[in-house]
Amino acid sequence: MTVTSTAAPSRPIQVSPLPSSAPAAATVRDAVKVYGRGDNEVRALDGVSVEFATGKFTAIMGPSGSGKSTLMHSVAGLDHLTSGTVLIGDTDISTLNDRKLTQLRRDRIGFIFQSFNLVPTLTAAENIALPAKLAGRTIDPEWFAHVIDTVGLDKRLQHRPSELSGGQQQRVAVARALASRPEIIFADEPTGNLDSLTGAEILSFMRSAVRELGQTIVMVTHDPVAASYADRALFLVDGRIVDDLHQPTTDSVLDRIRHLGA
Amino acid sequence: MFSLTLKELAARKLRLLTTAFAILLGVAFMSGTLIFTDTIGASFDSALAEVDAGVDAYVRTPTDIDTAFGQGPRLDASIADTVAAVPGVDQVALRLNGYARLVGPDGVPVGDVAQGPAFGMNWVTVDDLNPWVISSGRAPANDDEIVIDKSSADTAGYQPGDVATVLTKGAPRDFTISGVARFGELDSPAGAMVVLFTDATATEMLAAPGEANAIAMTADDGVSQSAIAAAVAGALDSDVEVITGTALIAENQATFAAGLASFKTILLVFALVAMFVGAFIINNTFSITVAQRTREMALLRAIGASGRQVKCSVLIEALIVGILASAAGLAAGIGVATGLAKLMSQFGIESPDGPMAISISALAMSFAVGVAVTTLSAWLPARRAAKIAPIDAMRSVSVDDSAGSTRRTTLGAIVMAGGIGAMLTGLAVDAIDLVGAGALAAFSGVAILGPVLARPVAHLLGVPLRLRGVSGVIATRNAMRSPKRTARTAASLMIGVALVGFITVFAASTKTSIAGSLDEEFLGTHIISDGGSDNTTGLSPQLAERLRSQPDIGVVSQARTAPAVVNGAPTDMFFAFDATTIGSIFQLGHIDGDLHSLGNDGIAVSAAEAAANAWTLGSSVPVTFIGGDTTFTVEAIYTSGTDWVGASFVDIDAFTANGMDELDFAIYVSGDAAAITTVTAADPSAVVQDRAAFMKNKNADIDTMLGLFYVMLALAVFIALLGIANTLALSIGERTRELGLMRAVGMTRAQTRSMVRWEATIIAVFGSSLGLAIGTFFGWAIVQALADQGIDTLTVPITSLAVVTLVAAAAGSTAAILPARRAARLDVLAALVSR
Repeated sequence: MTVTSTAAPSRPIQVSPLPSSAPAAATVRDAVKVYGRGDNEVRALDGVSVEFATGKFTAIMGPSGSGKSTLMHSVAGLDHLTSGTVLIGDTDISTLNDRKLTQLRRDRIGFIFQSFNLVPTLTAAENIALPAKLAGRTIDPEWFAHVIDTVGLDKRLQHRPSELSGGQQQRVAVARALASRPEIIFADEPTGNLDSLTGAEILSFMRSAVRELGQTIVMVTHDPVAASYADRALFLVDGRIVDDLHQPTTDSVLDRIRHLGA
Repeated sequence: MFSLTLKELAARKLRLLTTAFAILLGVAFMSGTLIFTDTIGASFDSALAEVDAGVDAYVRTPTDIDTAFGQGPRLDASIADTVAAVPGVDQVALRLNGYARLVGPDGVPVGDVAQGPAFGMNWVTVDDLNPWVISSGRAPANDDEIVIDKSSADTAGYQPGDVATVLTKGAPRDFTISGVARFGELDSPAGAMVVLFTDATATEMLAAPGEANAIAMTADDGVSQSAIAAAVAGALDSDVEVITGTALIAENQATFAAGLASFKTILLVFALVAMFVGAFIINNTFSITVAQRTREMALLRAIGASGRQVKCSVLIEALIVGILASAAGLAAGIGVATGLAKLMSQFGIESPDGPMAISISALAMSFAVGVAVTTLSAWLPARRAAKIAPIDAMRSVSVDDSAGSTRRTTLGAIVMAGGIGAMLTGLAVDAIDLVGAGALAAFSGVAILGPVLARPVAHLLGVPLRLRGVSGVIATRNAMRSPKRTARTAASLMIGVALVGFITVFAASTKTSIAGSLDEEFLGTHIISDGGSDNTTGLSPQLAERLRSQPDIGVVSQARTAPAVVNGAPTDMFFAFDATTIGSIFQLGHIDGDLHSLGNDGIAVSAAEAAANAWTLGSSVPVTFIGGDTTFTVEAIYTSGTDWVGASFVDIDAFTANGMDELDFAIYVSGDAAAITTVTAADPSAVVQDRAAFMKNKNADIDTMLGLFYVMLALAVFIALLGIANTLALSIGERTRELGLMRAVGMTRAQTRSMVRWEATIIAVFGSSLGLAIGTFFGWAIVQALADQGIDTLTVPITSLAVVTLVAAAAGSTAAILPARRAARLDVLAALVSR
């Protein structure tokens, strides 16, 4: 399936340059990820090149097995590419050893996972402060208060994750990601385990973090509603980017999915 | 169900290995002990049988005192002529023995009398009646020649033809070594140092003219042992007894076996301590795995397995672990036995070269104990497994994070109090079994209370860790997370550390008590002894005479010792002193009556002893010596100094009058050091110690014992460390996702490792703190119990105990190295998406 064969009104695939002068928060060039060998070979990423613009909310979409999670994991320094380059800012992460890579994740990247986002033995406040504490830093109290205020957690700060609802837990996860003011936040199906109302709330938080705080967020999702909160939606199929939608809406995303699936 | 159990086991090889190792070590130590002692026993049995194989009957003086190898008082040597005239008697030989000690070429006595006996015997010229066999050189041909045992010859480097000094109760004398001999198949019996003289020299040096210790004989062909024994008994007075050669051998074997039995018991106690620790580890491992497999077991229940079947599957798993570990333990036990033999040969106790005596009963017993401990330890977890409901398959499984319940607190307190009560009662009435059972119960009680304590204690221990950053904080929270798991893991370490703490406190208290009595009750300046610990060796009384003739030496007071039964109570060390000088050597407190009037038939008793028996001056005290019964009259009552003189003592004249050997156990002196050493220089066996040296020597002895106990307890501590490693490995498996998360948000490998190690350290310090608290209490209890035996000052060596805690903490951290590495090496992505 090729993008060019899809019906109008398709825009040309614009994978890279941004009109703005801001440098990309993360850059991927010719990313290839191969699992297995010979007959079992699976090309999870098959030559992906993309830039994630600073201060933008990007959604990565695609069917199961499309490589969207692999792409995110590789950019986030959780997985290694078979070939190709990933830059966070201007740091080539493939040159980093485990320690440097860990420090990079700690200091320059934020994470929001689908579930099990929090360390069960730590309180909400401690979870939020965890990356900073791991780095031996203290969070600027003003910023901390601001983040807490933004996600509306001030009454739940001393609770353990087991005492929080799923939505509250994800809010803590968002707060943790925001707290260290990372260059880029990666979110992996952040609303996958939530009901739609709670999910919408979390997504609003994320969008406002981008709009109001200038945060860069890359989110993997298969939910068109979730994607509609983003500034841009990338579509992956079989390890390749097949479409790139700016200012996606639920309808435009659904439309693309229908075309891709055709 | 059975095949499922097998698959379960196969899937968890590592866990199986650590669990099995805990029980394997216990079984190995136990079977090793049994094999080793059986081997030693068998070899000595055969040696003792072999050396006296030619003896058909044996004449000696009976004694009421329980002495090694039935040594009675000497008899009239002329009886030998009467015996020889009895029809049916073929050959007759005198047996003579007594104190003799070989001096090496360097002028220092050969061997250490604290480790093996030193004695002299006569060289029996009748081959059938001589236990010794020449291995080089020849038998003594004249009264200036001796034969020595091969072990001493090898130690000293003596060869036939060399001249050596021999110490006896008389003056030191030089002899020519005509030959070297072995005791049957052994270089020396049980590490003894033996000098063999001609009959004439032996009589002069070891016994007294016309006396012998026993008479051995062979019978004519065709005359049975019992017939000849009866015939000889008929020809002799009734003050001697005649036993058959078989009875003699059996007696000697029994004596040796009794000595071996106490040694065996000590080793077995350590093996059982190791097993007890292993039991905690097995219980913990099964508890954790049953919890981790709740969903799987619930699923089994949901598809139709009964609770009983689930329970059995756990028990069968334990049984298989028990069987495999115990079987491997038996194999390792043979190695342990070899190691023990090597260890003993360091102390001069030779093991035979022949095959090991591996008895079925020793193997069966160790195996059964190993399997039983494993299976029983898994009983409670198995019961919990049986109670898992099918609905649990649908629920998310959470780790048991409950801590104390009122029931647990009450039960723990009751068991602990009961144990402590039993211990104190046992100590009061001298019932060692009760003390042991009480200690076991006290341990169990503290172990039951463990989960109640785990959270607050871990929290407390975690406070300084906050300085170590977030790794320390999470480590603390993890240790507090499942109090039962933390407590059970800590409990296994607690046991070993409690015993370490106990003997440490006990040893320190003993040292302080000895120092106290040295300070307060010893008035002299020097103590002279030969280093021996009983009456079989000692100093020639001539030494005391020569010291007395020195003008610069103020007081010279001898002490002798002998086994005796005083007023019905047997003691190995009943003392005789020089009554005229003892008052100026020891602080005996207030004295009623007069020590100078002890003489041949007076006894001095302590005020406590007098009060206990309602004795006053003039009361009669029955005393039995090796030579027979006598009655002493209380002539003096003293109020202090019992650490030195005992609860009662007599004058040296009384010992002489009752036929005791004239060997001084110690000489207490008050005088100029140079003057003393001038005199003692001529006696190689004399060890002169001033107060400081005496204390140093005592402390060194105590430290040696302490070291030995530490080594034995190291096994229990090591097994406990395996348990810590095991628990952490299981916990890490459980926390894979959370580790992945922490690694993803920026925890470095180093931080991950330190987090795991800190958790282990908290568990270890928790366990060792509990252990030291219990150990110190046990130490206090024993000091209460032994106050009347001179150990009356409780000393808690804070520094030593702090060192124990630090070592435990370091060891705990070390135990966590592998689990920590595993945690740090987790693939972040794989961990994040696991389960």
